[in-house]
Amino acid sequence: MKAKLQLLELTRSGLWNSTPNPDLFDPAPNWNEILYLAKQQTLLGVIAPAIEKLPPKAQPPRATALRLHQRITLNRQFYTLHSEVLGKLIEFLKSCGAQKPVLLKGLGISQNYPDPTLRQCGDIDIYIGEENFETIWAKIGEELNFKFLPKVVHHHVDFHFLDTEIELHKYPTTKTSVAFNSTKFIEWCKEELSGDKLVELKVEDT
Amino acid sequence: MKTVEGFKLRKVAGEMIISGESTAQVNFNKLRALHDSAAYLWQQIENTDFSVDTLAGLLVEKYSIEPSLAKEDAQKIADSWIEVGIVR
Repeated sequence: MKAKLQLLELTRSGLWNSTPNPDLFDPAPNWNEILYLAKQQTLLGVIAPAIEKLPPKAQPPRATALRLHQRITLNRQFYTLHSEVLGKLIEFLKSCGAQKPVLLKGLGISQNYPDPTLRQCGDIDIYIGEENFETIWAKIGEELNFKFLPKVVHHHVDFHFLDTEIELHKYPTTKTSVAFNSTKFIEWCKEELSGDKLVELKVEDT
Repeated sequence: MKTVEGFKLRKVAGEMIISGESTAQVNFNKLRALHDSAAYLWQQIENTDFSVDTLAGLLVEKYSIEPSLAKEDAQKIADSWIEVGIVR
């Protein structure tokens, strides 16, 4: 229970760039437990800067700190890779007929983190909506020489582009979710994810 | 010489650590700890062209040591960086 509270405190600190309450980490916490929980919630990158702000006696042992650093270095490598791929992906999707691809979740949300490179992202999520989805998807399959065209499962289809896993979303959320069955939510998504409310992102193709 | 792009110096658990953060370093799974003077030099020359004389000059300026001793230390530091592949 204490490890969960400590993880929450570190998460708050990591997300809001604040200093964690040192009292929660005195006596020295069980770092294995905290880091295990953080790994399960893909929060290692978020809490790493918060850990650095703790008093020295509350910080993890050197070996643990170095292992954590090595793990978040991987986050940074993924971030660089995804940023490099994103520009090419958007151009590719446009060439396949997707007029306004919308970047969702991981890489998109990471821009709101104090350090975007620490947001753990396994894939790139792009929403193109229902309109012409099948035509665009067929064109993607043709261009990338798919042997067969996988069907939409839940809200998206998966494919690989430049060695990166892509989730191409037909729907913003799963059809079986309570949210998707809410008419208000669907209308809100359609309004927010299309038309004038979209903000054009400049992608630095490094 | 120049530092290889993608290697970053960060403070981890009170130590200055260099790790490869770009996609070019996916196979570089080592962490390199730098002592204070080497970390200082790295911060000064990162992403610039430099020579052993540049490093020696920085050491003289920062620590007021003899130029000959500074050059000896600078050479050792540059050699170790080249050896691990963080400088070319």
